[in-house]
Amino acid sequence: MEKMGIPAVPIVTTIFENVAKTIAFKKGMPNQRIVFVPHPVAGRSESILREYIEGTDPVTGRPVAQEIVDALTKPITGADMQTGLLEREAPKKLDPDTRDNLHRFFLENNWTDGLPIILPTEERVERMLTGTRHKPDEIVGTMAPSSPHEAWEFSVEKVAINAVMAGAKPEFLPVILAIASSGITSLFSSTTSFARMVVVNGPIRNQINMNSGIGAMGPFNHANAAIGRAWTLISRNLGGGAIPGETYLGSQGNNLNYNNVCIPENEEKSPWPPFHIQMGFNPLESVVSIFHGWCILHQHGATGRREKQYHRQMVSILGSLSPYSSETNPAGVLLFMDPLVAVDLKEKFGFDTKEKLGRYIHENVRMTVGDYWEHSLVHSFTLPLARKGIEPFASWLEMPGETLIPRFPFPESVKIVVVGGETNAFWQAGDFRYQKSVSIDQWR
Amino acid sequence: MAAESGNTKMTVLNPRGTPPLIQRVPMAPRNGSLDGKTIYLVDARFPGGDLFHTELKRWFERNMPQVNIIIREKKGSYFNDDPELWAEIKEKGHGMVITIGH
Repeated sequence: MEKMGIPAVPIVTTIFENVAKTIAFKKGMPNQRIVFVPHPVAGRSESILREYIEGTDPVTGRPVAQEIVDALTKPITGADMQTGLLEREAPKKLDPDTRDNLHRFFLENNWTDGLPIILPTEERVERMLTGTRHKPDEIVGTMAPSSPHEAWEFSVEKVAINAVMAGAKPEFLPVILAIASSGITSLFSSTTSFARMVVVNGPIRNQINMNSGIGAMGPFNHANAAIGRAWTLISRNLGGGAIPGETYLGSQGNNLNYNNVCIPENEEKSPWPPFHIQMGFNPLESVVSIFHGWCILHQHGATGRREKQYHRQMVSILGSLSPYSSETNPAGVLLFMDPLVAVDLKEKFGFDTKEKLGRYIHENVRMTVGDYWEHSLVHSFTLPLARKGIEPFASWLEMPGETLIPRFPFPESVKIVVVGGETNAFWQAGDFRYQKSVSIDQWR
Repeated sequence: MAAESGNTKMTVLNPRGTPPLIQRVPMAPRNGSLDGKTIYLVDARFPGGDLFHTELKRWFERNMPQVNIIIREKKGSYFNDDPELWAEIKEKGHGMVITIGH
């Protein structure tokens, strides 16, 4: 509104002081007049909110109401009217220093995941760059912590530097470049502490010795571990920050972010076509597929004897996952099926395709529409879709509260990958929503 | 590795990407008074924002009744833009207060 000539005052809760001031600076208005009130506003009574307004700004100590009036009325100064461009320096090399000092420097500048890294010397980065035919200065893409934040641009060499830091081998680089080229950060800045995950399909899984069998989702494989970690470092260093309180706001954080659930699908043991073929890729293409969610739950799988009980358990456990849909992310679920479970589902229970299982889950995991609209994230993100007339949400808004609706609104929002080593018939499920798939081969 | 041992200094590459240029934006002029002016209180749809705006409107009614206060809820979630509302405020308003944060 300031650009349109209208004085504007954001009122921000005090926990977001750093992010508010940082965004104002990056948007070109470092002197923006911001009024702060105590945190939180959510869940506070009218009387407490009145106290906030009649009280003092916890940052400046000035009366809140008077600050609002002053922000709208006090004449602006010369500094408030400045125009022009500000450039921030990003030198190619750091000043020479000892190994210990450099490790400390990286840690203190929030350039790591809190663990020691491999220092990115020129020799190591050159060796890493042998993993791709792309030129070091080629631009890979841009990445931002979330939509209100600025996006940073980065080159092949910058991705290679972070791959070195993560402990990757040159042959992992095409996978890491494909992930980076998606432009999707793994450290999405939401107060809700999202995680992101990546599934690798195609021949490259075996070419770089990824593990899709026993312990695939644990810390037992160099490629799984380093590729997942590289995504975290890229998100910090190339994706505009991930500085807690400033460019990362997850209240509790998410432990999955250490490795971003980087797994290959166990295509060899799966009774169904692999995930990338479902997404329209050629079977011989190598592909990364990226997902967005919060958590993963475990459940014992099909036994072949107690079909009804098994179905009830599946419906019950999936009924605890988040039902909210946004414009770009319909509520969904990602199932991680051990091959033992997948084969049982196909051969004993008749789910001969992943799509058929997806339809079953869509139709059977239900909740009342009354509970649905009471969910806070549904209220924030899905209600606006309903009001815009987007189906099925618009129709759900008209239904009596006790009406049962699908927790996952579209059958195609239920995704399935097969992973694991057949030591037990376990399966896992996450509230992860599919984002996009990228060809790895174009980055070889 | 010898190059990393002891007090030997080494050179490493900067792992950071390139931040974009910042285009400085001048603030809108203020004219010293809200008397007779219309101020929009915009609820960005963070939880509790609706109640906060109601209380802020009441404060203006008690303390500055000469200010015309209009509460509006921004369309979409707090991530979405609402150009129609911004156009309305430019046409009919003299200032905007927007709440951000949970």
